[in-house]
Amino acid sequence: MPDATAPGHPAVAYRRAIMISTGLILFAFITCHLTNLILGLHSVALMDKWRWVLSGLWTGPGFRQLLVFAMTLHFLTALVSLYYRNTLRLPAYDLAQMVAGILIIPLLAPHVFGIMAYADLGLVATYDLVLRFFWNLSPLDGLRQVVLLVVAWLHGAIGIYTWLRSRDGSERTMRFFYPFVVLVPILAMLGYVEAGRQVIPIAEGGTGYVMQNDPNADGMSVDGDEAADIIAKAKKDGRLVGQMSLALVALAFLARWIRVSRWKRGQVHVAYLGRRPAQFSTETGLTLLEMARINDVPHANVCRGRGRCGTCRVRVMQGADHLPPPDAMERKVLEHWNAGPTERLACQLHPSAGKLQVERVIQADYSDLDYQQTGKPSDSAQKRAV
Amino acid sequence: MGGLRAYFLALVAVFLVALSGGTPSVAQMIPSTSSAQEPATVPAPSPNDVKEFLRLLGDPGIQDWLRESATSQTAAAVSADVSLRDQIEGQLAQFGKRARSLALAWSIVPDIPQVLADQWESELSTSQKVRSLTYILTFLLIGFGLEWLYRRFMDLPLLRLEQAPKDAPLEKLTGAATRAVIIFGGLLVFAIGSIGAFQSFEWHPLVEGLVLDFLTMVLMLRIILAVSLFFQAPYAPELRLVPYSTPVAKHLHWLARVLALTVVLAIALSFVLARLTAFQDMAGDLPAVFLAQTVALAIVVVLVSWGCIWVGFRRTQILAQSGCEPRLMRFWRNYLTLLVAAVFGTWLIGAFGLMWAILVIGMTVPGVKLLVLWIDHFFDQSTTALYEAHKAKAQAELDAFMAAEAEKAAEADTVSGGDIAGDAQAMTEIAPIPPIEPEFHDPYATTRPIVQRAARFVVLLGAVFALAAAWGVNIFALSEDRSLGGRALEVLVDSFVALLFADLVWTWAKTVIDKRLADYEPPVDGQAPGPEARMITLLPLLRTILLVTLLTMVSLSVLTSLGVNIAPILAGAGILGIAIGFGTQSLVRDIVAGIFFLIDDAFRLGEYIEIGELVGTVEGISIRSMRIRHHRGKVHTVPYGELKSLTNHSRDWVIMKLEFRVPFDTDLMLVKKLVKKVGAELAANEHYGPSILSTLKSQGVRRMEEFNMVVGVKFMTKPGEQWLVRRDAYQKVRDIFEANGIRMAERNVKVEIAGGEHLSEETRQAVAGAAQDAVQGPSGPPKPIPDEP
Repeated sequence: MPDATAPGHPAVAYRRAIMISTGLILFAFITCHLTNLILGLHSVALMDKWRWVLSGLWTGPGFRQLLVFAMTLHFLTALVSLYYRNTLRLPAYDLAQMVAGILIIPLLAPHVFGIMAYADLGLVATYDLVLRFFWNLSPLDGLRQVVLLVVAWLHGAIGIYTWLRSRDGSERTMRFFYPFVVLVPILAMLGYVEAGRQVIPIAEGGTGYVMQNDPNADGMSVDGDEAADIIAKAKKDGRLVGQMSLALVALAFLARWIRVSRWKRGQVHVAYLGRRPAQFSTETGLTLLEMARINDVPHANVCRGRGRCGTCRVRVMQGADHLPPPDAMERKVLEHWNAGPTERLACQLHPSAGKLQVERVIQADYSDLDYQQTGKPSDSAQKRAV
Repeated sequence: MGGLRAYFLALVAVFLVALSGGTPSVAQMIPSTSSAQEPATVPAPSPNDVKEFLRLLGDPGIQDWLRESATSQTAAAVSADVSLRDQIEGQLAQFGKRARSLALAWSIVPDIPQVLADQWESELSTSQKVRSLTYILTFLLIGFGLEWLYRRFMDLPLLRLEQAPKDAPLEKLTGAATRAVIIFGGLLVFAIGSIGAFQSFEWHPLVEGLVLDFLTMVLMLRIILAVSLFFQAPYAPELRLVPYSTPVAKHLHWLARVLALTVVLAIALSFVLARLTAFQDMAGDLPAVFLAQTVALAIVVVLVSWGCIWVGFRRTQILAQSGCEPRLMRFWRNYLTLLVAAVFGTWLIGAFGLMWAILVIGMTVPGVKLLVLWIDHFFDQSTTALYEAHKAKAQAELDAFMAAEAEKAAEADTVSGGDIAGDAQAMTEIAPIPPIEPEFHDPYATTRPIVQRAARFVVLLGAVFALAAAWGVNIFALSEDRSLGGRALEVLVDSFVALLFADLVWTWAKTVIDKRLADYEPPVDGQAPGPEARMITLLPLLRTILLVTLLTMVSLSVLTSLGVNIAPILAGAGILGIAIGFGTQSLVRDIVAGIFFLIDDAFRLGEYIEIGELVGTVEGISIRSMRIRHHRGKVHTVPYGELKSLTNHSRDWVIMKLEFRVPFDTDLMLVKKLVKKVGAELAANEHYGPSILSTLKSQGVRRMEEFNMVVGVKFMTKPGEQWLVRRDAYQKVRDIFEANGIRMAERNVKVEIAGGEHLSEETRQAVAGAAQDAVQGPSGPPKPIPDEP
């Protein structure tokens, strides 16, 4: 995420650490939960058999608090990151991740509060029960679950994907990560659909799956009015949390807008030399990589401007004297690559007004890199900067 | 499911048949027979009857039977039972019916939402509807997910492909094609992931139909866009195959997206509606509602097409800045607008055959034009790229030469230390000639028209097939159709195809021949003509023969398809051919032999050849004979048929050997050195020097004779130059031998006369002469050496 915090700010590094660690916890939970859904490809009974491991553990004591804590922290840090975004013209993956991230809580809250309401009603949230609810009683909620599944998985997968890619030796990891990241949600959705096919006919008067030893066979432990209250409250809470999260996001956007609009802007003229030369004039404030992206200049950037991978390095040919010096993080990456004194990271470089001539160190299509030997940016996914 | 689809198809077929006019198809049988039996008032069939009828129609067996009986009986039925007047009447009746149903549809437009909502409600429960949506979403996502996975492994090649610089258009084409293959591979994965995964489950039939319709729609949309991407490449200018800039490409791609989305969505919706109504009895308002729906969708499509045409032409003109003539653009804009209107109009009145004709022909005309323009552009680009490369190469050579010159000059400078005289001498000695830029030949000059014709051929053929398919005519079964229309169509199609083929062949041959004729440069005086000379004689003849052959074949094939029996013509031509053949046997032999001599490249104009007794320079080559001029002026005319073998003296090189006789006491090393020197002098000669392939050199003593040694020398020149070189060689060798004190051996007879010391000098000589005569015989004038020019 292109951050505009003051160079060398340690907060940036902390924030990233928090983001990725909380994110990993949440992703682990989603993976377990989806694995439980995959079992639906076999039968609903199997889903319920393994429910206590794959889903139950996470909602038990300790884990439950951890999840809530991670979720809150992740959300708040994300708000801060949002505040520090310089431009909203993001590459497709970042945009998808952001939109998905904003959508998760409004989509998730009804599900969470709904499941919690089962306990209040004196019911066990078995898959049998929940699936009947989603496929028969309220199919619209079922549709929302599919959207939620995809949105949450997308958000988490993009985050981990980006994190993995900018690490050393990611090539091997990626070989497993790609199939994993595609197959888990696909199989989960298929499992959900198949489980639905098993429970739907019952509601329509046909024959289908009937749970044996159903813990909910006795019905609710509360009477009708109270149950209606509980359900209404759960719905209300879900809506409320969703709306609150949206309001917070809107606030973050507003703050960001105020921050950005207070910039003093000047004009900078950038010229790319070497292969595929280009030049453009643009307003200052953005990083060089963002400027290039906005002006459709192809640029290599494996970590998409997070200042980790070093593939966006440029050689400053002219105009180096009025550039801000590299901060600690940028220096570290540059040292890692044994970069020359004139080289900088385009994603960390904020050109000031004036003229700037640069040359790419790594071509936009990586044709001048030997992947196998460096083992660094093994993979091609994000190189289409434009 | 298959049954459902067949059901639906049958429904559409009935629908089209009831409203369309014209072509003899399955459907026409039904209204024409029924109207013949029951004029005017047809009692409306009961819903059950209709249902039964539809069920029967949906049955594949019945469909096959109908198709078979239609093909075998249509001709008879149409020609025998239905007169032209009946046909017109039927047509008019159908128009009237169509108009009535349109009016009915119009009158119930306000009720449509209600009717549809009811229908929708009664067919599918709410949860089923939402579930369908869930399924659509789920399976689309599965497709996209798998495609993404596929893309992970394809992205690097794709990126390399898009970003690598491409100079030659052919590289561009292969690049774009490779990219298209990768993208279509992704689409295939998508299709498998979405439609394939969906089909592997069992579903409620209506839900299955709905979901499948939408999944197919998305796939179709993506395929159309992939094709647009292949040509326009809005985000990868290196791969763009069309000659316009990035903004135009982006704009047109966007328009293509809008148009494709509208059309595909409209089709999918009408399918969904058809599915909904297909389960109902045809009673009530449903058919009218269905019609109204379809018309509304069609109107939307037409409006969007108009909008796209208008916006497209307008924006393109602005974005492209140059290169498009406003009048032309206006014309094509109006043309397309009218075309859309005409198609819609004919569709509305129910003349489907006419509609297809208008659509296919209307699209083929600009399509062919565009295609030809595009091919032109493509070849232009190729030629320009090649020319650039050619020029760059010539420039590089020139630069290298200049650099070498400069270096040499600098070297001379430093060596001579500024010795101006030496410098000047060096300059005059070297006399640097810069390399001349070689002439550029367009390698595609002959390919271009052929490719254009071939493309046009393919498009026109495709149009014919499309039209036939739209009219429900099986082109391959036309010969079984004995009706007038069928016959006429068959003749037309046959002649058209024959003409197109002949045209293709003729264009190819003509371009190649004309190109060679145009490229031929007559030899400069005094030089032997190149290998092209023989072809120049042959090509016009071949061209004429080809033209006549093609014309004959085309007219014969047209005659055959017209039904004219061409066997007598062929027989007559055969008899005539035999007669002429016998009469002109030797003439034919001469011509054919000549063709083969020319193909063998046995001789060319201006060459010195030997045929049996005759020698001379080839002066003229005609179809039947050649003319040879002897070097003393006699002209021989030789028919090719008479040629058995032929010796050519003017090919590639000639070796000439000379001999000198020197006394035994000659210094052979000196001789060798002197001959070498003469050789160098000869080679340096400005007139014939370049013609000497291997200059004069000594071969040492060839043999010993009684009184002298024979020293052999030889040299190799281009044909025709040897005489001149020989003259100078003799002269120079003699001079240089004399200067170096080497005497040519002369015959001298030493006569020792016993006791003849007293004889006077004169007597001695007389005796010596007598003795020589005795040894050798009287020395007459030398025998003439063989003729030489």
